[in-house]
Amino acid sequence: MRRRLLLGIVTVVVLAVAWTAYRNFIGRAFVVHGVLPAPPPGELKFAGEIPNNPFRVESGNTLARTVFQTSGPSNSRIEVREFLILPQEETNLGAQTGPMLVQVESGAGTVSVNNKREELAASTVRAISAGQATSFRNVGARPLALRVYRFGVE
Amino acid sequence: MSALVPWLCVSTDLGLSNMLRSCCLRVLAIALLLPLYGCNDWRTYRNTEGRGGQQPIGSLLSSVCAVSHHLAIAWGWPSPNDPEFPGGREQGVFRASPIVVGDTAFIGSSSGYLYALDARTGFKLWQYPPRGEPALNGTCRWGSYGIGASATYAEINRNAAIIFGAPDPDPTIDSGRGSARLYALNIATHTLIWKSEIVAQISGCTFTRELHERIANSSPLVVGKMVYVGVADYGDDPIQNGKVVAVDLNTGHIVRTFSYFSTNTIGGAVWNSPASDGNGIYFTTGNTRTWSGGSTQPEPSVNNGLSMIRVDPATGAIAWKFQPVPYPLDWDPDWAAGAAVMNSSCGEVVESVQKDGWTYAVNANDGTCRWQFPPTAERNPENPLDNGCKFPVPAGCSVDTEGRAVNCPSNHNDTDYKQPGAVWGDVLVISTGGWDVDVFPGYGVGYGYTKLHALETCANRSNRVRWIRRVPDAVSAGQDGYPLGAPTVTGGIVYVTTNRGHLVAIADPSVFPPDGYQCSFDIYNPVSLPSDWQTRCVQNGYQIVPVPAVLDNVALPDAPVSAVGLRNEPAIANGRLFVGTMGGHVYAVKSNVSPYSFCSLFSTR
Repeated sequence: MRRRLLLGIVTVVVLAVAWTAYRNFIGRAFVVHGVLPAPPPGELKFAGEIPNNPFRVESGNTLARTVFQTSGPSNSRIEVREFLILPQEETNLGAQTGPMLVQVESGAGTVSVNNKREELAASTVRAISAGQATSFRNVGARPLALRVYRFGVE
Repeated sequence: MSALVPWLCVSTDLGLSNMLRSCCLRVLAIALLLPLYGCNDWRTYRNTEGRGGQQPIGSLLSSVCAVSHHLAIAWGWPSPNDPEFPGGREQGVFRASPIVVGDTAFIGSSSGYLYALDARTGFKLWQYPPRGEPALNGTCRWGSYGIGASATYAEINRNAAIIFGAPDPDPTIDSGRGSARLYALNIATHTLIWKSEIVAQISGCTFTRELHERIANSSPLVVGKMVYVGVADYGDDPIQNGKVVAVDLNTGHIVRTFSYFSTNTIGGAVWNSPASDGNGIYFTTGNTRTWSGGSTQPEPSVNNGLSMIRVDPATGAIAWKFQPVPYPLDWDPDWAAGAAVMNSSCGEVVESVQKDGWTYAVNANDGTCRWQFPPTAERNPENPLDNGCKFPVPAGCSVDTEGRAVNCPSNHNDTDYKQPGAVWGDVLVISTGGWDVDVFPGYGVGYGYTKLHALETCANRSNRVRWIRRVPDAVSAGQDGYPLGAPTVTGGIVYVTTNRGHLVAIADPSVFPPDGYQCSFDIYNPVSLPSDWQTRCVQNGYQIVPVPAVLDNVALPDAPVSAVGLRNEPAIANGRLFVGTMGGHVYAVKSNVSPYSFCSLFSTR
């Protein structure tokens, strides 16, 4: 008799504990607070998306991609390229065979044309004549994004 | 992952004797747990008044093992051979999602009918208006949108009720053009409790400065004895003066002591569902300077457009407004997504993304900006405005007397970040522009349309991004900004619908290991910088962040028809997901794992 009573009490306690545990543990969905731990050191598996027409490193340590190119009249060639100059870096485009327009998308930098340096402001356009040695320097903390319209001979 | 899932999901279909022998305590525990399944409703758009989009009650849908490769269609409505619906679909589209109260799901269609469906079987229980009665649509183009936002549950004089907004087809009301009201229905009797007075008026049907007000995108908010709804326009034809209207919960009469208008002229439409923390009413507003056909106006002397706003629940008086994009830079970046209230570990904040792709966290008590993502202005030393969150007007940019901008940058434009985020602890999961909008202003804005970002509200700037995931079967062609619906979350599993008709489940890395990692600015990748993408990423101020795993990716039966309407979300209720599609269907999706399996014990970590 006493044994049955004990068993009954134990059963009730177990049920109560199970119920309470459920209410506290499973009744509410898990919620996280705090940042995730740092990624493991070393080479990481890349699982992001490679953008369409990705930028690629070119000579001068610049990221560049061609977004449009076509043949124009009289054997001319029109090309639209985008350049990303990473923070605190400089790139040298050399002397171009044709004129170009440089549109500053974002960032802060300077352009040097035939060794004469000027500041570049976002949302402005700078024309550069053919045959002039041109280089860009990023002086900011984020990429300097340029869209360059080049006109040349095929 | 594949090795883990079978272990966790051991079936108990082993026969009674084996089960008793091996795990009688488990059976006992599960039997005790089952009664609580089925009490987790989804009672309004984003589930709660705070519009957080979270289901806090655990279920199989918050269990990694129950979701991973185990989601299946529970039912679809209408069925292909339903004689009431020729073609096996509802005549309209579902731009919003169901709410779920008990065993009933309620959803409204653009065709102007609200349906009550059995949430267990998908059978139609009743509809309003009843068959044979005119649908809730006007005759005018601006007043013919049916029910575009989710209904809201309320108790009216102790009766369970649902409230929703729609045009009134009554020809004696503004000639039947489609002036709109709120409707309250008794759930038990399926009858009308009240129709509110007109809250959005269509005063004419030509493209002039008539009133073309609509409540197509605003789910009613019930706080205390008041019901609030936002008023917007249709495609800026032309922009309307944004307003929030409050009606009495018991009577449906407009509460005249509450008044909020966005401007003293036109603009500042409220395209979203007001949110509340019980102390204030929060919403976001549309633009004021430009509208269809290149029309403009001088800046209104009262200009609450392009703002996140808190108003007093009793009076509508503005407690604060946060307006990051000033009037000269207004090229129609409506703030359309609406506010989500987060009770974070660093205080109460209100969060949202503006149409231009920038996301903000604003302190709920005073409207000051906690952070902006990406922190473009913050990185500009010449911009001390409100913690660096507001965009300064550049030198040389001005607006003439007609409201035409002169020499002003146009990167705050009519783009498509219009979906609210899901709030989960301190984490905001949202479709936002990401770093591309910072570096490629103007044309980089669309790169984020197919992605979800998880943002840490309380972390410092260098840890803002928790993870980034491109969502599969979400397609953005050019400036098409509708690849994703609004995400919802439970137990760290994020659900989102796509414009290819898929429902995708994504696991936060705290509940399941990520697929891998990427740079928070995706220009830094192994193709662009083969030798040192990780190093350059970190050196230049970005983060290496996880790419969370996709647990499942379900094609809904009417795929590839879009499952993304402007106010669409996967409602999480009773252990099921409920979605409406642009194909005129409602689907319930569930885990096909038995609730008697181990998975039910792993519904949280």
